[in-house]
Formats: sequence, C-alpha cells, structure tokens
Amino acid sequence: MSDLQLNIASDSALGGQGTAGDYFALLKPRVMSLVVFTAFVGIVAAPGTLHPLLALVALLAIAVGAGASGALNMWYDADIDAVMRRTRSRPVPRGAILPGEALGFGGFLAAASVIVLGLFVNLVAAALLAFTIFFYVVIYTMWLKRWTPQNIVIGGAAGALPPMIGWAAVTGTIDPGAISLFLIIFMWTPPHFWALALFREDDYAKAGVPMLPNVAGPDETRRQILLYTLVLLPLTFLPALLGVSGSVYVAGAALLSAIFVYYAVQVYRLREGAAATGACRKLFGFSILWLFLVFALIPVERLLGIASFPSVLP
Amino acid sequence: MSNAPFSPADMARRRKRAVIMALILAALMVLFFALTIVRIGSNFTAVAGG
Repeated sequence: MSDLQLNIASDSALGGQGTAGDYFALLKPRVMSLVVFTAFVGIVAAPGTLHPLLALVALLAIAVGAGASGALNMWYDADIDAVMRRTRSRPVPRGAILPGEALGFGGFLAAASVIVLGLFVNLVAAALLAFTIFFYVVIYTMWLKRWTPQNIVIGGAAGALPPMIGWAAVTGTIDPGAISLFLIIFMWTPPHFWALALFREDDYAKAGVPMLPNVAGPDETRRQILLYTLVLLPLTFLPALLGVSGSVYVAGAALLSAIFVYYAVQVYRLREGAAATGACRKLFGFSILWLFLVFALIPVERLLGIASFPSVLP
Repeated sequence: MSNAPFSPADMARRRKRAVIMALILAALMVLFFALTIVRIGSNFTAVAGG
C-alpha cells in the first residue's frame, strides 16, 4: 500500500469527509470556465439558431462533462498529484475525498452530462461530449500522460473539442468552421503547457511525468514552443477564411498573435536565470489571455453585427 | 473518546452538503420541466408547420 493510501486510510477511513467546496474543486473549475467559454463561442459561431434554454442546458452539460473529466483525472492521478507542488493540495491527495468517492462522483456526472445532452439537445453533440470525456480520461490521463512527452500534443485534442460540441449542439453536424476552432485550441495547447512545464520542470520530473523539458531538455522545448506558435499563427485566420468571422476578428487576431510570437521568441532567446523563467511565465500567462481574446472576438462581431467573410468553401 | 462514527463537525459538513444537493436537485427539476415544455413546443410547431 502506498504512502498516499496509508495517509488516506488513517485520516478518513470512513469517507464522507469532503465538503461541498472539495467536491467543487474536483471539477477543476478554472479549466471548466475556459471549456464553457469556448463551447459558448462554438454555439454563437455556428450557423442556425438554438432556443436559449437549450443553449443553456448544452453549456451546462458540457461544463459538467468537463468537470467529470477533471474528477476522474484526479481519481487516477492521485499518486502524481501528491508529489507535485502545484497539485498536492487537491482534495484526493489531501485525504479530504477518497479515490473511490472521486471515481463515483466523476463517473456519475460523466454519464449524466452525456445523457442530458443527448436527450435534450442532439445525439451528435452528446457523442462528441462522450468522446471528449473518454479521450481525456482514458487516452490522455491513463495512457499518454505517463508514457510519452507528446502527451499534451495528442491529449490537447480533448481540450480543443468543446467549441465543436457547442457548434454541433446548434447544427447537429461537424462542419469545417467547427474544425477550424478545434485546430486553434489544439495547436495552442503545446506552447501553453510547455511554457508551464519549463518553469515547473522539477515538479514534473519528481512525479515521473515525461514532459518535454525533462525528456528532450529545455532548449528543445523552447524550439518546439516557437515552432508550434508559428504553426498556430496561420491557423488563427482559418475561421475568417471559412466565413465564421470577419474583419474585426482578423485585425484583433493579427495583433494578438504578433504579441504571442514575440513572447515565444523571448522564451527561445532567454535561456538562463530569472529572465528565462520570467519569459516562460509571461508566455504562459499571455497564452491564456490570447485564447480568451481571440475567441471573444467572434461573439463580439456577432453582437456588433459585423459581417463574416464569405467562405472559401462552396 | 466518542465511539460515534461521525463527529459533530462531520455531521455539520454532511448536513451542508445535503442541503446543497437538495437545492441542486430542485433546480434541475425546474430546468428539466422547462426543457420538456420547450421540446414539446418545438415538436408541436414542427408538426403544425409541416
């Protein structure tokens, strides 16, 4: 029996010790807020209309599905979380919630969110949500995370799917416009997480998680961050080419992407001491703001009545 | 030392959790009722229109 299990067994053998706040923390609320936001943009960007109450329940189901993925991730990763500074105060390693309780909570919410989305919205959106939960929990958490430094490159697909679910909630289909939103988040994930991994390298190494900096080294990670950022740059304009967004989006995305590239270049250039750590922290922080603002431009255009460009597709 | 499985603090925590759970269930009940009305309404409109 591991130290973690012994600790849990002695502190809370009976279970039922978690507060409502602990259960809320299991849902990874910060990740959930970004998921809800990108799913909302998917709903707004999709052609067609959805009754506001159905849109609300779609967002609720996507949020709960994302939260369930977080709870299942915390159940499976309790051993890793217990040794990492960033995660050791999470409810399971702290002993506030037993691993089995987290599993039951997450499993129930995962099933409930998919059923509700399927019954009240449509089956395509429900299938996409089920696939997202499966991909995050089984493919990423159980397999890729502990096995390959490409974990977040492939695993990033799970975080990129919410706008596609939102889009499918409106149209019932998987369209090129939805895929363009998926691709932006998919390509944004590696530079975002590798910037974090560069200044938390010791944490991941201690937990035995094969992140790129502790497998290929910080220099290679810096090169990969810059490469992925440069690939992300043209992909950001794909929604405009596909008629999802218009001129304000293009102007805003160009400005924001120029800043993103600047921070990625700084990470590539500065390799020693506090300046290097500072550059990684700045890129990590700005990447979150970048994603929020780029996606926010789409509903802002809709709100202001700014026309989208004609699609390049027939 | 008490032989009771749960201390008063545990019981208070459980009570608070139960109240929150009851409120969530009540809110879901209202939401699902409203959703059912919306879905029945849209089906009715579709049938009447088609």
